[in-house]
Amino acid sequence: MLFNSLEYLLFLPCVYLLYWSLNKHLRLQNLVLLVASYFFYGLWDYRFLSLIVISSFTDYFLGRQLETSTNDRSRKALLSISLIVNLGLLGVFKYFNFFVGSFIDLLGLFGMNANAPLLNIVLPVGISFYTFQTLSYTIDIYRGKLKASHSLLNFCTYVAFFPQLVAGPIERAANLLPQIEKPRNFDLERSKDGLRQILWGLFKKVVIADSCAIIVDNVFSQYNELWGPVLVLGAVLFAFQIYCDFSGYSDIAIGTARLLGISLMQNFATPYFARDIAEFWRRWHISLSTWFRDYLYIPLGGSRVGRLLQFRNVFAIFLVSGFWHGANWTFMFWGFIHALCYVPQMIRKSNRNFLDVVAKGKLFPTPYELGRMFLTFTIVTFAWIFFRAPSIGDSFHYIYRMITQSNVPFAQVLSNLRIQSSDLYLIAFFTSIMFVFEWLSRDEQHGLAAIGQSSILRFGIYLFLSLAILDYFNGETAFIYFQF
Amino acid sequence: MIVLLKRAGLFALILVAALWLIKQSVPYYWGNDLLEHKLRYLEQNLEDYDALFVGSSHVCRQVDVEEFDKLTGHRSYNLGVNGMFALEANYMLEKFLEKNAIDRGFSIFLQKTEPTKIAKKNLHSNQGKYFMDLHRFRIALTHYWKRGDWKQIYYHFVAFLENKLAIGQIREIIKYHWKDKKEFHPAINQNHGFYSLEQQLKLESDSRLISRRHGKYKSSKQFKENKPVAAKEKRMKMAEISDEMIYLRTKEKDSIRYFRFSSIKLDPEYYFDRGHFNDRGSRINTEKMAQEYKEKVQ
Repeated sequence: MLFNSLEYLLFLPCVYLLYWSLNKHLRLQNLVLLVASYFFYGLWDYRFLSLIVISSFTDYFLGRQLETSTNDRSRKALLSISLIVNLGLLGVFKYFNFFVGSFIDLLGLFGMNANAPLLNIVLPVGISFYTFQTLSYTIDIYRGKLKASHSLLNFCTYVAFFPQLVAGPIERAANLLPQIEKPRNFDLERSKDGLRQILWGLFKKVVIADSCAIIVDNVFSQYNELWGPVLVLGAVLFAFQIYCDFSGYSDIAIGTARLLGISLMQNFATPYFARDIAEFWRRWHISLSTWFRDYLYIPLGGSRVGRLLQFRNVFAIFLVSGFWHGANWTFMFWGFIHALCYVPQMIRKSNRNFLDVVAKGKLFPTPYELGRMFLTFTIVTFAWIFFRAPSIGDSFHYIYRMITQSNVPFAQVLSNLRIQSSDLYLIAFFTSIMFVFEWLSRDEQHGLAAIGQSSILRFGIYLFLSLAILDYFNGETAFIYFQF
Repeated sequence: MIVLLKRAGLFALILVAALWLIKQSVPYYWGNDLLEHKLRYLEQNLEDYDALFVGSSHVCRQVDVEEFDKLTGHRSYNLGVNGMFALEANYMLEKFLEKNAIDRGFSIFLQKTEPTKIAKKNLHSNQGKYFMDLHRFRIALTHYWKRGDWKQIYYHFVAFLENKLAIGQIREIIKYHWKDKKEFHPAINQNHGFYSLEQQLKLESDSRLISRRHGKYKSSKQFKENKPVAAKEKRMKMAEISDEMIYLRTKEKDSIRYFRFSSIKLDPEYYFDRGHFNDRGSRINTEKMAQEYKEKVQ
């Protein structure tokens, strides 16, 4: 089931009413959440529910064992089992074909031909997300930072919690599990804000991301025949698309959880207002970047090692982050570009220059801040080309055409895109609205958090956004991050 | 929680009202420019005709009314438009007859009378959002309820709601009010509503039509293998139908006779694209229709 579907429009109120009607009955509430979560996932493909169940059961029992075990060797063995089971499932379903294919290609370089069987399987939706979520649970218990859950129901609910099951935020057990284990009280203000955040997420996904997707797909599928400005436009629109798609999903997930009285971590904090790459990564897909920071970067030594090892750690975290997105060299290269941009900041020790929001307490940024934001956005957009293109070769070819085929009038750009100019103007209009709202709320959780006290103004904005969503709604279009 | 539900309910109510009002600003058949064009022409020239052909593109593209008139003595107008579903045609007829009283002998030829299935790919698209009133919506639901086709019940429910509330149509409605109406080739009126794909290609040289004509399907094995199957279904059937079968609630029932005709299949050389005849195919189709009409009905 997708958030942007009619089914979800029926599903959510049913769950909501049933859930709050069982207020004061924690176990029943959690049972409702678990059944709803399995139903939510099962509608996509019920067979893959078994993977979630395997992962949940394995980590639940390993967590219990880890807590009671005092022997260091057996604790390491238990953690290894958790890593092998979870990463094994992820490896088989997501990376097996990639590794086999790459190995065959490598043999081909040495003149050897090999035929190896490839798996004909689809990637289970959300596997990368819930795998990392359950892994964090066992690792935290192993490190003594977390106590094991003593309720299988609560633990399974934590792993399968439907708002964030298929595309995050990758919630740590230390944050989510205690909320599932404690009684929740209905809070009107929190519920209202949850609804606002859902509305904002739907607006970004349905109105902006899906409109950009039509042009972006068009541009990237036939970039060989298109002119430079069209390719620039395609890359910029992809930057908008991927942000609105993924942050829109996160907004709906966080808003839904808030309706149910549960707080999830913020996953995006206006990343396109970042003034450098380091700040961008503190604001983009926060749940993943902090996961890698805590479970990979710091265990490798982080920045408290020699210069060469620091470089190694930075490249490791960015390359693995890229690889997490998909079994393709393009994602690795995307991570590599970000690492390249990050390293100079680390050398100059300027990677923590911008910890607060831009132009804090002011309405407008300074020209200097604006310039930095523009430069960062340009670099990020350039890197997105590698993320979106089918291969690294295609990415370079795309960039080459972007630079060399630039002498073309704007009217031709539009005809080249084979779309109506009004569609492009509408995208520009709605994207501007999105950026204005997000700018005004850049200190807040989402774009509608700071729209003023006037109830008429608020009502007008909700009505406008709702009409826009209903107008752009054209069925269920999957979220980009489902494929990861 | 009651406060939240009340507020959310009130907001939903206002939203629905706003959407309903937006939809009320356009005529019931809005969304099909060709239908609007044909209806306007027909209303102005209704006295010239004593027969109507109603249906989808299979009527518009395949019923050569001049040919039919030559063989039967009627004066017919082809009111077929692309994508018209049976209940849509029915509703449109009812509205048309309410507005234009016919108190003389008149024949109406319908392509289909039973509710049309909505394909999954058409759900949420304008093709799927076909216009109906509550009366016909109930007919469609009952029809699929009896057959236990829950999917179609759901699809019809979604389509009905989306159409009545202009979901996915607001920008188009704004454009409709602001922009000039689409112009159609005069040949459509000159041919009394009949406009074959072959003729359209000659007159308008639409690139999409070229690709349809040369589509992969026509040279495919699948198309060629259709031949023996198609050859078996060459018989055209036509019959007069009762009032109950057409769900119309008009007063002029006595002066109008309704007929239903079947569709036929021909050999591949008579097709323009996957589903429509070329000019030669249309002529054969119309001749068979006229022949059947003369033998069995007239």
